[in-house]
Amino acid sequence: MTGNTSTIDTLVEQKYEHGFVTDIESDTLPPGLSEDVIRGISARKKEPEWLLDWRLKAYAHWLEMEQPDWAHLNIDAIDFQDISYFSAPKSDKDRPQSLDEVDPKLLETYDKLGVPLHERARLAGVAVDAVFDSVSVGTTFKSELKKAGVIFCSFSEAVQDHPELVKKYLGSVVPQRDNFFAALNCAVFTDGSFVFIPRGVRCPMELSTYFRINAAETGQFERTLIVAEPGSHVSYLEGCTAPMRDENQLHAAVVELVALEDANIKYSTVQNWYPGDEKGVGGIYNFVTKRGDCRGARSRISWTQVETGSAITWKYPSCVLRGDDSVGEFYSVALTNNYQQADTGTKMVHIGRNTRSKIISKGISAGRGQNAYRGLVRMTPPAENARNYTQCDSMLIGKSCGAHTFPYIEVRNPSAKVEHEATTSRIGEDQLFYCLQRGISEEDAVSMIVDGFCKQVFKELPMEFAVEAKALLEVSLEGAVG
Amino acid sequence: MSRLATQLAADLPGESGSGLQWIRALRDTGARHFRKHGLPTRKDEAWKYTALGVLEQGGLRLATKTEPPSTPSSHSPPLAQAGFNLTMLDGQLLQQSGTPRAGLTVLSLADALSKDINGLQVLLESLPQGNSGDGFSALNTATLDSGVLVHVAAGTDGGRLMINWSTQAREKSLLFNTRVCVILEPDARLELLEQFESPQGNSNTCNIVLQADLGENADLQHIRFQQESEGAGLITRTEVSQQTDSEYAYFGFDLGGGLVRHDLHATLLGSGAKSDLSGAYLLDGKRHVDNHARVDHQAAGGFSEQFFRGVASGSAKAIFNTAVCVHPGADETEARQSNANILLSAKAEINTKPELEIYADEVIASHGATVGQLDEQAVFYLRSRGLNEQEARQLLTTAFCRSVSDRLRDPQLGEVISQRMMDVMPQAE
Repeated sequence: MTGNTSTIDTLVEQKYEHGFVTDIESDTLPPGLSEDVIRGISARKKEPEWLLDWRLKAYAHWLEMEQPDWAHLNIDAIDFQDISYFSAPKSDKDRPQSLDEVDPKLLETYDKLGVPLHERARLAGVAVDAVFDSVSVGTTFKSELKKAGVIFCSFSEAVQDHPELVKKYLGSVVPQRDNFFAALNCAVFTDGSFVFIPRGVRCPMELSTYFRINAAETGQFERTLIVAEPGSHVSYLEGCTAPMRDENQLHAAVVELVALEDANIKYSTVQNWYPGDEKGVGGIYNFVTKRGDCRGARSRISWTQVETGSAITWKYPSCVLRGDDSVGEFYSVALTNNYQQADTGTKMVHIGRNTRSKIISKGISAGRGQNAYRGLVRMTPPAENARNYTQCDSMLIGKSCGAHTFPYIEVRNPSAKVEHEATTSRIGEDQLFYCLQRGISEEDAVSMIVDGFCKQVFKELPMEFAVEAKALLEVSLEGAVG
Repeated sequence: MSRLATQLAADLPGESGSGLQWIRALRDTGARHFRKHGLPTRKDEAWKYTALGVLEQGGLRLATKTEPPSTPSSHSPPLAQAGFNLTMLDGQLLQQSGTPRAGLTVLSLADALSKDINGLQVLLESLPQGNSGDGFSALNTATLDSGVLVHVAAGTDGGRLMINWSTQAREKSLLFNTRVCVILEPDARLELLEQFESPQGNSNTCNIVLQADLGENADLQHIRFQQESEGAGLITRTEVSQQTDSEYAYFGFDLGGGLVRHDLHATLLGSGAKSDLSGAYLLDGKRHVDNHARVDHQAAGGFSEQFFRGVASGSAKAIFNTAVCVHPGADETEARQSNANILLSAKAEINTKPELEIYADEVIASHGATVGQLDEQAVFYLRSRGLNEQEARQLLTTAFCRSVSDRLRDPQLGEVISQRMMDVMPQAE
């Protein structure tokens, strides 16, 4: 009897192993998506009530939506309940302590790209403060921006410090129910960047996520909002040429740009997420919604992208040309090698009078890569004298790759002019022969030809980016020849 | 399913009709597909820009065999005098005139089916059907009975065969389903000239499926000239399969019709095959013309070109969608696509989508598409030579479309067609 009592006592006193409440301080939420998870994210970020409501509304829309399947992509089924929607940045003790602990293959690539030594550590996720004093760079940088009145901070900071601006512009370009992945992002986004350029200010430097402290681990659902007030000017660089390792397979980011009268936004991206191995195993799914709204007259938005990474890229940086005389531009290089797939392009929606848009897209397919350009040019009835010029060229390297073009042209104004031209061809045999005959190796010759093919786009990139992008293409094309 | 599809499904005969077992089975398949999927909607990517509301409003009903065609009513003059002529009224072969050349055989489809002509079963069964957007073809198969079979023997030249299509105006609008089968044996040649013209006030719709099988080195020139009344509908699907070194050339001229939809599909099965599709569409009023073309290159060394020119005014809507798919192994293929349009009014609309899908090596492919206006400098030049504004514009717009009729092998026919285009050329508003 006594024995029995003691057993019962032990059982009663035993702590419940699995826990009843989620510790608010914990780093990572368990996998799964529900209203509670969204409330959890919002609470951890100490968000105001209106933002939580906004997230919940997006979640309600998302539940009613179906994952689209129109893209020219083969996507394995995604289990949205198997993803953890919040994970705080890794603490220094979990990171590799020195470069010796980093995958040598990654270091080899850095070597080829010519990444400076101190940067290698940061990119590979080595505890930063130990090797690279980012704070001092950050401080000088911040004080200069402050003098100009530019706000450049993480999205979470913006929600706390500038709620009126966030509330005014968030979702005004990409609404919650825009598409399946945008709705998901609206519901669960964790962080991102916020930029505000006040009236008449020309941002004193090129803004880059690279310099933003804590930018490295913004998570898989990133949200960027850039607002350029009348007469302002900004150039924003996203991403990095060096390969980024990431545990998260699905990335669904949203980028919103707002350009008011006479404002000018230039947005450059170099995307080099992990593309999977040579056999197509692993790799990032990069499903991004990027849209710019030329709200004011004479405003201008220019997108430049170099897409070499990710197993699957699915994105269409677009411009809504609402203001009269506004200009939209899209310059893109997309490269797919091995088993990579890309379905990318742009949308130019002309609404204002005398609006102009230009699209230059260069697709390169190698290995078993599949590369599709998909674009929409829409001239709505009020778009008097609107003008579009589109050129999309594809290059095939190898026997098993694919290059595809799906341009949609919709014209409802008789004064609009739309021109679209595209070519697809194999890498020029005679050009290759000429190079080889001059003693240039086949690999070098291919990268020279590819570089020439992409020149029109590279010249739109800020200089340092352009140099790196060129090196990046060479690395990405390795093994494509012979 | 839409109200129209439900109505048409109800109009389908309950039984699979008479004839051989395989024919009845084929009709059954079509009827099942139609009852399941109905007519295409704008949710189908291939029908994104074409809604069928106008047919539904007209209270369209399925024509059944109980309404035999009577004598033909007055006709517009045929485009060409020479050649062997067929008159098709309400989707049925009414009469033949002239003498066919040696090697050319023409039978009504009902006759051909009852005789179970060699190769006909394979051809009829080869029509791909599986997409939800294939509703019209399914309906056509479900009612398979009327139409013609054209056969050209190996190594012979069938010359010109003219088919004059028209329907009679009635109290209610009817949908006529017809099948045309064309078999060209190796080294055979044929020029098929289809002309669609019905008396004014006509609101019928024709749903025509044309299947052509081109043997090695065969050559089919296919001209389709359409000037139907504004209330009439025309839905066509052309399926061409091409063997080694065969050549198919299509010239479509859409000068009339209310709702018009053409689906052209060429499959290049043999190496060195050539597909050349071209067309002009001139639209005014509330007319709607949708040209959809697809070329599948399945063998090496093929060549394909699509060359289309369009003019839209009033509140007309023109759609051009072409897709070229170069399959793995179809190396050394050359593909060209070109589409240019002139938009003349604020309410008109032009949608164009030239697609390329390339999975092979050593391919040269290019496409160009434009939408714009007449060159004002050219207008000024003509006016400085004494033409008035209207004449100048008409001349330039005609010249723009003439680039299609000039591609015809028979310059005389090209001249007749360009004159007809000039007569109906829409004006700027």
